[in-house]
Amino acid sequence: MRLRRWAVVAADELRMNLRRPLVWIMVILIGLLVWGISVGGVQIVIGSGDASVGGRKAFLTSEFAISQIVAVLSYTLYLFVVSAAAGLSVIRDSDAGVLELLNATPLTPGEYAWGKFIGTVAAFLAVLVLQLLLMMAFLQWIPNADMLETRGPFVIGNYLRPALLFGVPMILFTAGVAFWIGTRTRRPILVFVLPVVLTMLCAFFLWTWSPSWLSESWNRFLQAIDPAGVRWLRETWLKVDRGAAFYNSQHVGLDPIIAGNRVGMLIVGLASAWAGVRAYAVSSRAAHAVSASDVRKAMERVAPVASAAVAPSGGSAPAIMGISQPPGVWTGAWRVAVAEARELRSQAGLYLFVPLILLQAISMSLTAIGPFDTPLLLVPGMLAVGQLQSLGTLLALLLVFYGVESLERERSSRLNAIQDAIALSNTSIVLGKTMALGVVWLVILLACLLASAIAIGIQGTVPFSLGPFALVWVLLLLPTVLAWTMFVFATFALTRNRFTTYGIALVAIGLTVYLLIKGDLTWLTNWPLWGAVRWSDSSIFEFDRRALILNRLFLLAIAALLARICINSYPRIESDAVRRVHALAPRALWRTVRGSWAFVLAPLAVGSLLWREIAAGPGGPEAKKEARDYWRKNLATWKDVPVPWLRDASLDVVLHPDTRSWTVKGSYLIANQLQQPIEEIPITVGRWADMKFTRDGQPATPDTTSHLYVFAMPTPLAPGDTVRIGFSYSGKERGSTMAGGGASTFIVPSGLVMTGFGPTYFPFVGYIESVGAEEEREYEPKQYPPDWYRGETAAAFGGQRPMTVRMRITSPSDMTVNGVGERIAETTAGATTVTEWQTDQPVMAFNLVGGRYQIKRGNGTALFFHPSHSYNTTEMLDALDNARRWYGEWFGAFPWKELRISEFPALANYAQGFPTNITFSEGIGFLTKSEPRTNLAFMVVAHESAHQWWGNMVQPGVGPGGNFLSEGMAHFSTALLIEKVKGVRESMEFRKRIESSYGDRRQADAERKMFRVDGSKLGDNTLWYDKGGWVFWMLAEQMGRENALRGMKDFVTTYRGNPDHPVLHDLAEHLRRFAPDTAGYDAFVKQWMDTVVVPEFKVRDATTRQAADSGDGSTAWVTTAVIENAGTGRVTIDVAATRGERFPDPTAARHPEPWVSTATTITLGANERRAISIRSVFKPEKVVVDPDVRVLQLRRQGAEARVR
Amino acid sequence: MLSIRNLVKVYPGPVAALQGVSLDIPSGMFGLLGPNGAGKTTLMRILAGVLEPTSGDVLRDGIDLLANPQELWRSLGYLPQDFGFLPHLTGRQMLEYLLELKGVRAPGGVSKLADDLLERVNLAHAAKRKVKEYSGGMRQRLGIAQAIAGDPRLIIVDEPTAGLDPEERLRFYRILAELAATRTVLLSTHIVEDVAVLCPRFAIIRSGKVVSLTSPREARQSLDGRIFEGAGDEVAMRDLPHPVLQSFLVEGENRVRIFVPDGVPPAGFAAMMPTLEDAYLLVMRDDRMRGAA
Repeated sequence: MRLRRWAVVAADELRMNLRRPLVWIMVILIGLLVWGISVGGVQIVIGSGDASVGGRKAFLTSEFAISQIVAVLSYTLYLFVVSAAAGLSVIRDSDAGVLELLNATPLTPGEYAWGKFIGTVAAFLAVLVLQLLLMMAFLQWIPNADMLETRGPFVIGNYLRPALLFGVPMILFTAGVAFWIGTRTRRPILVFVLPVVLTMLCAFFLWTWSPSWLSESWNRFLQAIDPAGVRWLRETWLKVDRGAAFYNSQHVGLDPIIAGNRVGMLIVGLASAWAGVRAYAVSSRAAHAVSASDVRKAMERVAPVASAAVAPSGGSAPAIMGISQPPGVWTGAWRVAVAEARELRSQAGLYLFVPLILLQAISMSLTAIGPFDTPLLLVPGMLAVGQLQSLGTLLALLLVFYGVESLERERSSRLNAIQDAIALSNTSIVLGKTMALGVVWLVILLACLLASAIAIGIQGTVPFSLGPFALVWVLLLLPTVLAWTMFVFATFALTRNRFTTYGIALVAIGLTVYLLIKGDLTWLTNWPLWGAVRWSDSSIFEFDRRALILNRLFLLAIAALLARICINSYPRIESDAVRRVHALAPRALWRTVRGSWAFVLAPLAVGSLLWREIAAGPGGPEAKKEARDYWRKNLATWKDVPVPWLRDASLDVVLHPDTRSWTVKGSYLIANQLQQPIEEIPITVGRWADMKFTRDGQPATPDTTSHLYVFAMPTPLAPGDTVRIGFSYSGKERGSTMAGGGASTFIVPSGLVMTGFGPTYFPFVGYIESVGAEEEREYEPKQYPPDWYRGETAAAFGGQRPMTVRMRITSPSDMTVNGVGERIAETTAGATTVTEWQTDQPVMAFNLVGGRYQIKRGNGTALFFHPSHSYNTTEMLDALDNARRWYGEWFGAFPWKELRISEFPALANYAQGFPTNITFSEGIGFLTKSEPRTNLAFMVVAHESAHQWWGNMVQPGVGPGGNFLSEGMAHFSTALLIEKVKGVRESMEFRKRIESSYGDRRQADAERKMFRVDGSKLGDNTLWYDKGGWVFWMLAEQMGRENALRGMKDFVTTYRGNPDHPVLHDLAEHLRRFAPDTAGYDAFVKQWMDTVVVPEFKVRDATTRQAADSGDGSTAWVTTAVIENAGTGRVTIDVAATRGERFPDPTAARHPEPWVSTATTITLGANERRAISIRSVFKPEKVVVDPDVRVLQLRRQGAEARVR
Repeated sequence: MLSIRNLVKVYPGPVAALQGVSLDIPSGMFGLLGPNGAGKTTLMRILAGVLEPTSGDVLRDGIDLLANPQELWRSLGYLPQDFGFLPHLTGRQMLEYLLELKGVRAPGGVSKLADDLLERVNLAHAAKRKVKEYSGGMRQRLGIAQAIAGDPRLIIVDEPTAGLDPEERLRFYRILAELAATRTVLLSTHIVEDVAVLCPRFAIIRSGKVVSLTSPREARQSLDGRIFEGAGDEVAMRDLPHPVLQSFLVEGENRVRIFVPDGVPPAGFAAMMPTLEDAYLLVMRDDRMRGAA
């Protein structure tokens, strides 16, 4: 190989790549993204640190942050561009006919091919260097107030190491594999198989799928195969937050997994490049392998010798030449489509894509997880909507590649020289090519459909049905496919450049992803419908239906406009530069526009309608302004004013689900529970019409200050006095939401969820500080003094004191509407039913939930569910019955007559424990794949039922620690109930799951002691739920279960209906009275509630040996190990030497060895280690710390080791 | 009648490929002769409706073909100078595809017609072979087959005989001659023999301008008695007072053909029968001299 010739080829390729618009579009995108990261607009780096003022922040310039940026960018941006450049480099020369010339020179195939490959790689390494410089400039050098706290010292290694670890291997791998594919097959489409497959694999699986129950070995395997290294980085270093101090000062430590992964990527990349060079060398000399028999046949076959003296044809012209009757638009389109489809069929692309898509769709379906990391039941509609995003992305990418190649085909084969002069209209060509691309769409849809059918079949629970797939993937997706295809076509027609079209299309996709991540996608901009639609078996696209329809029509109108542009600019007649300039003259331009006015006006008109629709909705500018005015006008006056007591609510509600409206006539009895007189009573109302008020039966005209009506009392309301405020109004859910995606409360034709928690449906007594508050006006939460909770504390949610509620509901007769309390009457007349609900015991809040239900009843319990969702109802009703029974026994009797669960359409995935009337999304519980490992159906029912005690009977106070009494106690109750009903193993699994959730979601720097957690910090939610549940579990263990339950029962009795709403301090003080060891109790509370600790155990050097002399003649084993607490806190834990499987799968064919265990107990403080020795009568296999899952800890998987 | 009026084409650069070409092309065979880079292909592509001119008009029977390319394409058979086919299709599939796109119909159906056309261009034996396996000449013949399909009123063939062996060239001449009997066939070439054999009328184009419009007979007649040929070394020939049209070797001996306007040759030169090539070269030479002046 001559170095000089090779270098000439490489240098030429390098120059060519660096001149490409696509590469510079990519550099501009990198610059924009890095700038976005520097000003906080783009967040792809670690979310560690404390966001509060003065809190410790994670540097954007740390090696961890730079690693994330480089890994993600080198994947998302480089993948497609490097693939295109490397994969098409030889194809491009082949199309240009250069190869024949080059092959006839001394340049060897090896010199040429290696030169092309190295030139391409060098170009992108240069881009990587440019990226590093941009990162250094934006993150390190350019003055930027947004980075005052996140800019660390400049360390060149923080940039170079991530580039070498993540960037270089990725570029080499991508370039190598794409080069091989392109050179070997010479088919441009196949070049894009790699980026498409890797995008699907990584974005929709490897980077995102990590349920808490995934085994460590599988997790490591998935880390090892991630070509970007992102999964390894996240799982190893970032998932469990190590705190900003760690990330700011440490290097990214390597382990054999990432080392093997990166070296493997380099090897695969270079080996592929070598294979590409070989493939080129073989093909360049046209070394066809021909069998001897073929040679013989060919030699025998003699081409007929034509006579030069051709006689006149003799026949008429039509007989010898036919008659030309140019085809109509549709006939021509059909002919183009057939020919294009034949081309598609002859290409290997689809045959490769289809199995890959099939595999990906099946794996995605089977690994779909819902709330609490639980597997989901695969319902056709949810499966169809669930795959909409990945399917849309996949289609968008494939349509770019197939679309561009389809348009490029005639040019690259030079058939255009003939075809352009055929009497076939541009419309026919564009239409025909679009129809042929429909084949791609159809094939992919069929592949995904087959995958879904297989997945549903494997699951064997839910029947397969075609309707939802047809609705979602055909009807909803068609406008996206058309508009996107036309966008690609129009871009190509205007730019007439394959690579520029790729660049612009990828920028469009990237921009959409950016808007999605930023939460700025709206119905106007969400062309692929990412995250905009939710499936419900009971409510099929009823919510935001108008916006959805207008969005699809808008896309169709855009498609028509782009089609018009494409047809007019189709690269068929080579336009003249002078005429082009003349065409820009105002008059000429006007003539062009005038001819297309319908195409321009249609999207403008539909877009305007769509904007009107969403502008009128709850997220529109009008609603936002009203909310902002409410906040601005009232905050200073009403923020800290004590709220009077809503003692009784009497409501006559007429529901019109078909028109999504309702009318209310009712009254609130408001009492002064305070020590001083009340002069004014504020009532917040929603966006309603015909608002009328009365005061004690007399018409009243309260002061109106932006949705806050203030009733000035003629004489101040003395302590203990009451006033009845009457009201009537009509409400309607106006417009659509800005971006879709569902809602937590709603009224749609098939169901409704309406609550009194806010002013959306019913008047709310008091001022709500959070309404109208905006991010830029966010302020730090109040700092509370140490004894702030003493005295009366206001309620965190619901009424300040329990109230009685009476509701008269008029609804369609085929709909059941459940309210709080007891149903005391129901009458049906014609098409309407009137139901009356009355609370038999006071409640803290009220709600309505309605639908067309099937009902299952238990012991004082009832389950209202959609008739097709009966899969888990037995388990759910069992949970409900057991919750009522055991919680009643543990925490005090359930005071109301009936406990109900009512399903609502999955417009949101949550459940909410209103008194007597629990609302459950169909996406939780009802459609969970329930199994011993997860028990979600049981678990969620147990959790929500617990809120009847912890949340309703005990209504937490507002302020730090309050919500632990609601969510933490509900999780604790759940763990207890699961243990009681399901068994020890299930309870252990539940505790492991919430422990894992805590580890994954906690923010190490922002985590405060439990007594101070107020919900204002990122990560507080997992503290309330997961850490709270765990700490109460450990507390009960510390006190003794019986003592703890006695204390809790007494606590419920004490605080039920109490005007002083308790917080964690109150619970800790209350339970102390029931603790047999108060010193131990105090130490526990001090450690777990008044400081932040979390242990992390490691087992080292676990070995076993046979005891020299067992004494009694039997064989004994002595196992030794070193146990270390790498975390914080001082805890006493069990350490066990074990053998066998503790909880074998009863359905497994092979019966494993029975489980045996011998344990010892040790106490370890932070960073302490201790050698242990366990003597056993069996040969242990493992040393396990905390085998019974009794102590909350981080990274439990590291707390066991195989014995050597 | 195809009328070309003041056709101008300026490429960015700027390069004036056509500088006001005007021609009236009657029914029958019409040749467009010119050297490489004269603007022939530019003119052919404009006439085929695939290249937009900077200015000028092309009319046929009063219809502005530039404004209505669809009208032109309806009745056009076009064989461009540089073209290709979809490589994975067989010759027959490729031809059928183009016939379908053109909307060509025949009594026996499109398949039968494709077979007939392939037979006519002597490709029947290769009908089932993929186009990518065709030789250059075979591709050219396939191109000819598609161009003549559909009974077009106007056939434009740009350098059609390039790549054809002598036998196929003769076959093609016959096909074109037969077609020209009932339609306009516009033949662009730099091979003088093509025009000499086929075209009753032709134009010579050079540097984007029509420099001559004549017939082969007229062209030859205009040179009668004024073309002489003789032997001699190149240096001596430079001193000849008459234009040298060609200088060539015959059995190692250098010979030149000269144009003598007054019919009195220099010593050693013999009178020769004028050829079309002589006329063409003379026009080129004159034009070049005018250009130099």
